[in-house]
Amino acid sequence: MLARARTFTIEGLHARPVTVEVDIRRGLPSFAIVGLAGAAVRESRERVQAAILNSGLQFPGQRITANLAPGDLPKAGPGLDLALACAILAASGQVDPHALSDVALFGELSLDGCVRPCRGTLAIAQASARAGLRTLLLAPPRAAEAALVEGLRIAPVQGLPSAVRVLGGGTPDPPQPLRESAQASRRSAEDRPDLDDVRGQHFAVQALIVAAAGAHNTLLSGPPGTGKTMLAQRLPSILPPLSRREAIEVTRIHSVAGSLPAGALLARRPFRAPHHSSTVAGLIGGARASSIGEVVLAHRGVLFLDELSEFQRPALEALRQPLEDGRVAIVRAGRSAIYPTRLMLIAATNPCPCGYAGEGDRCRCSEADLARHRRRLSGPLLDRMDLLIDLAREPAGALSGDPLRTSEQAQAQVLAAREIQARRLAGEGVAVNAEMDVAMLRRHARLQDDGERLLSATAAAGVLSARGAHRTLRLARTVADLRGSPRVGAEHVARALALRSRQHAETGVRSHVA
Amino acid sequence: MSPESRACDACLRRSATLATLSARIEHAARDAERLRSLLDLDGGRLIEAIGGRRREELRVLCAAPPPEDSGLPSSCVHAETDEATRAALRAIPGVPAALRLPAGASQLRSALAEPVVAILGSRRASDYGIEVACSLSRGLTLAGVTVGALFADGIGAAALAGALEGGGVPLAAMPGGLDVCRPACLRELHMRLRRDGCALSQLPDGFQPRRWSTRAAGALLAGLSALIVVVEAREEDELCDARAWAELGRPLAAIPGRITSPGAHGPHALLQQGAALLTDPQDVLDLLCAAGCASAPRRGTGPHREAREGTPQSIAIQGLQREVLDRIGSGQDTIGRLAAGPDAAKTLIALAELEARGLIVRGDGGRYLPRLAGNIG
Repeated sequence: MLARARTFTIEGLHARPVTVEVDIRRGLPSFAIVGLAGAAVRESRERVQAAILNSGLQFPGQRITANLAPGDLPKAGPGLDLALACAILAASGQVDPHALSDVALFGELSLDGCVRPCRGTLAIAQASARAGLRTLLLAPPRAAEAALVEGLRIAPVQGLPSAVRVLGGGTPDPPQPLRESAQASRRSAEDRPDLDDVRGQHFAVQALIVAAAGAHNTLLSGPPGTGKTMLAQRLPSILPPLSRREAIEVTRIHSVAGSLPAGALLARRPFRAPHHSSTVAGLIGGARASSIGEVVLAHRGVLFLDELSEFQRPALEALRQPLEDGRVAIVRAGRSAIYPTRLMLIAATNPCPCGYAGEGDRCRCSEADLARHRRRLSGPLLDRMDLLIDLAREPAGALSGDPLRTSEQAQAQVLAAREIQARRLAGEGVAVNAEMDVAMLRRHARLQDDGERLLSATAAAGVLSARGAHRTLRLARTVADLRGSPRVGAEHVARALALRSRQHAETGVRSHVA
Repeated sequence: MSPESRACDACLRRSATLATLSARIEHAARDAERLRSLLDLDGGRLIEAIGGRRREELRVLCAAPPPEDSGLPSSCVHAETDEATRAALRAIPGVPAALRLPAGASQLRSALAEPVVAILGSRRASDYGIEVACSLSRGLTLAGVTVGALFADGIGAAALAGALEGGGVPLAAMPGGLDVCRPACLRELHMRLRRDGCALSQLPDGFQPRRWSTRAAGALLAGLSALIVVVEAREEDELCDARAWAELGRPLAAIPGRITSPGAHGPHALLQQGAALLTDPQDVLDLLCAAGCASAPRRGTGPHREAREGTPQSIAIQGLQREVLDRIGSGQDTIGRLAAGPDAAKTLIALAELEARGLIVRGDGGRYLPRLAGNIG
């Protein structure tokens, strides 16, 4: 007899539909799985057999052939176990085959018949809804995650007996309560980093707000102990909150990566801070289908590169395409998967190997050390940074002063500015100032006379290149938006100039010698 | 191709000898004193002193005729025809060797016609030191003085760049061969010097700089100068040389710095020992007059060269720009300190305007640095 069950396999970030066909006929007892099954799927044979027997059901002692269609799609992961088992039960008459026609099944089976949760549940649920299936059977711990998808009935099943009962029209098991996630969210609310932890460094805080308002990538440069890491960690708290669509996108990515805590919807923008020893594979994505790069995990969030000068050059070069295009395509075994990478980049570095260049007279580095350090920073990534901020040591009194802003106040400012940008750039295809190209700049960043004069004087004096002038104008447009000014005036241009420390930008060596 | 001027064979042989014995000289010359005494020996006695076991071999090697040059002009005390230039070259310490010059003896003559001021300092200079060296050099060049410096990182490169900006012909003492550009990041400066400046080297082409050859280049420079100015010096080495040159009879001057800055220790020590204090190019001219340089240009007279574009104009500035410039000069130079306060917007505009006029520039750590006009009068 032939029976079919519907399930899915994860490819990249998407769930591809898989139909498990099981055929049972008379012959010597055998159990074969065909259809480009990966290692974990091949091991399903043993799991399924033991699970069925230990659940008190019958395992047919005949010739069983299971085909995983389509035959050219590689299947990976143990999540096909449940579908395989149910198809076998249907083909041997223990479950009604018609019950499987509009049902999706996903889960790993343990040897005693319990259903285990697998990575990628949200993607599976979305694919089920898209495929027009009415119900999804899966393990209870992941039920809350799957419930985020509308239009799909979730039927948590603890083990094979429950699955048989549900397929026969019975009620599903209760989903696992979200106790853990409530605790976790309460705990994290207390120690969530907030901008009012920062004392002093007012200019840098204002710069961070400008960066968040226009989604400009930022480089923070300064001696140790000036708060670079602290400021970077507070950037996600002042970015606009995730919309529901963005939240589901991000939750799906983290679900596939297996890093989703307690199956709840991610409410905060992701903040990824890879160590500087990360390789290209770690940052972009590796050869194994299950390894998702940091740059993808930071989608819709913030990627923080601390100690930028210590990162390997190939790794930094590899970041160029994802940052420019907003997506990265990884080809594995002849199949390519595309991952989204729309994120904000913030990096921190020391100005020289000892860290104290420009800080009074403490720096002991030789010219060769300085030149080498600057060479490591220049090139691919510096090109992408709109803001180049220098942090200096604050005098002792500043640490006991009042904070400049709280995250809430800053976020309100950022939201107001983003709204202005959205209205202005409606129909242009971009949503924030940092993504404006030269033509859009000409259309939307109108300068007042005094602003025009200042910008051209600076460019004529050789302080700014043409590209630098465009960057400055983009920044000035964001500063003007924060102040609510429709046109860009001289004070906005002046602040934008101050936000780009040009000794990093234009040349690699000291600009006023040769 | 025969060059327009060629040094005498003896001097060319001396250059080749020095190059051959380079490693031994490096090993034997542990300090400036010893190096000077070694370089005072002529070829034969030098080989005696440091030849070791290979004396005979070396004697034969160094007695050979000098190798065919690449065709670059060279000059020496014996071959030089101009009396004034010959007198200047005779002042170079040590046994004379051939001087390689890329542009010919005529350029050397015109450069040595004016009084030469050597600007020396540390290789790892602060932004302040570089700015001071550059603007001092530019100001002196505009007033008609020839500036000499060692071709090296830091103060040396800044002084040479300033002189080129001022439209003059600086004397660059190369620590190695003429065509060797060490460190490599000064390649552009090297090219400009070959074209517009007067690079000097006592060693044959292709010779890689060593510590002793750098010291010798410094001594060459001191020999040709009427006045030595020390801008920043942190290590003892640099100071030793300056003292040695004072013994040659050259007047020393120094530019002070912040007492907490390590680069100011050298100049301050020299000032305590009696060097003259300098704060602007006019002081240098006064010192040259006092030292008895007949051709020192007086205030207001002398050839005025055209300054290059991009040098700061010493036009009068007032109002908020003046105030901001004073604040930067007195130490409030970070953007954080300057942009604090209620009228941050106006201050930022003033900063941008000052930068557009070339009166300030951003240095290490994003701090603003005032640029000195360096003009006289």
